[in-house]
Amino acid sequence: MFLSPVLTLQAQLSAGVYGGMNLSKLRGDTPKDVYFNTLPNGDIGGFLEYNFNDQVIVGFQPYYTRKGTKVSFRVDDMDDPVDSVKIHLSYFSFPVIIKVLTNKKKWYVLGGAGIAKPLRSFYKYVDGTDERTDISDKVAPLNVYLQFGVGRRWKVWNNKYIFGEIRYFQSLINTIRKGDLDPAYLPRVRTRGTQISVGLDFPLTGKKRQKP
Amino acid sequence: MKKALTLILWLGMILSVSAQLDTSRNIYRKPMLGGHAFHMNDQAKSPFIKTYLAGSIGMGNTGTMYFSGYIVGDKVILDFSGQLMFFNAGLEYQQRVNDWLAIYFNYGLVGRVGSDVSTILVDGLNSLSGGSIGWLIRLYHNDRFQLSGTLYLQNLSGSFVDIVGYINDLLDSVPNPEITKNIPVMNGGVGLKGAWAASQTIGVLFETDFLYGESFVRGVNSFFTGISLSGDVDFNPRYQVPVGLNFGYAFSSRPENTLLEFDHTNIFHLRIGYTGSSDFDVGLQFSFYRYELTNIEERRPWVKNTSLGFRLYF
Repeated sequence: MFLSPVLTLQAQLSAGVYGGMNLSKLRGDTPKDVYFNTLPNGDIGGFLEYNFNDQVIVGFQPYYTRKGTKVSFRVDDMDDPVDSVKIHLSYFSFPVIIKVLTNKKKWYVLGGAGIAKPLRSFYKYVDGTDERTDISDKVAPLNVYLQFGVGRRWKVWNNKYIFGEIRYFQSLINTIRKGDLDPAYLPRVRTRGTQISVGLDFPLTGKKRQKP
Repeated sequence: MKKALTLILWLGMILSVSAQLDTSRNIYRKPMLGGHAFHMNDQAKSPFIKTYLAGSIGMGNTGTMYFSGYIVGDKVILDFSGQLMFFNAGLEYQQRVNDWLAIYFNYGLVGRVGSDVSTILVDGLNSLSGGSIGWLIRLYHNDRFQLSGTLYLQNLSGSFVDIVGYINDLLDSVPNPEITKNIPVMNGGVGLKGAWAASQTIGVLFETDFLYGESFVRGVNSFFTGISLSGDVDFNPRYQVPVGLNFGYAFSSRPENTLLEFDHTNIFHLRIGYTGSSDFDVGLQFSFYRYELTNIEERRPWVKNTSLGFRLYF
């Protein structure tokens, strides 16, 4: 009797790892003739999930991510803007995600919010030189964001799943550190994009132990 | 190329979900309570957990307005009489996930243009574009009533051209005056949507929305709200006439309705639609609302807007 609630809780818990790529960019105010374009980057992380019932799962999914943008400038005598700079923003992220399974339990939609702590930010030119200029002091000390997405999971063996997901993410607060700037003149710039992930999900206890 | 790849991936996932989710083959796909099939107006968010695609396109105009202009020396400039025209277009897709949850995306464009150059010169040209992504969650339902909640994120981008404002700024020696302003804003919102079927013929729809986030004035956050109530009459079940009416009132301080910051408007609408199909609606909507103008003496002229909308259920 004493162990029963513990085993039940464990049976409702699962853990896993996931990783993938994101296509992110900055969006918002830009100087004249300057454009933000998508830049591919990567993510890797783990998660701990709790099954509220057979349709709703709540998960804590800390992960490392690098986001960023390409910056293009319009140049005289050129038809298209020219890619000139890549901005990279590294974060450690702590999202809480709710997954809702469809009736067949294979597909699910997800949504949630998270906070992210910036680690290192820099820009470099796209001309091939690897010189990196640190801009960490220009980036806001915290990022808050929302995610919405769709996923599909496949049972592989012994109640373990692999899954694939695609998520839209959007930061809620300005990426640029406020500093001493008057808010009326502070540019509004945020990160947003699409995150594509695959992962492995396994229960913390075996199927047989779920029914003590 | 990357945008195309992202779009293809999203579409692929959504269509796959769609293919698996909508396994129930209801003959009548339109939302129905107590024998009444609901026909929503073009701006309303459906409270029903259904998969559908909806769209609308419309135009409107004010009556003739007068602007007395500016006196420069012994001449009067920019005096005119003319109309302002408005346009709007929107598209929404909602995907049912299970009995109590749906996800949706929408995108819209709304703008104000002058019917001639002088109108544009005097009151500028505003346009807003953007959309939202969110969840629709069924909170309560019975045979005749359904209540759902929404949780969403809205991204808008506003473009404002204000020539008179620019001239005034120059005259007032405002630092860094601008003719054109492009301002991105983002808001988070929650809402309640409800539907009640009084009979097979008559239904009632209501919704409330509360948004908080950035305004189109930099450095200022704002709270926006929208409340609407509409009646819905379907003549098909009782009189075998496939015509439906939706008429109602809405109060809104949302910038996509006012095209101006820190303002509100009262909107009256009448929609006449075809109700003979089991899986789609199409209708013509007439809306009337008053509109705040910044530079014209007639401060709140009436705007008459006509739009064509459809909603296709899967």
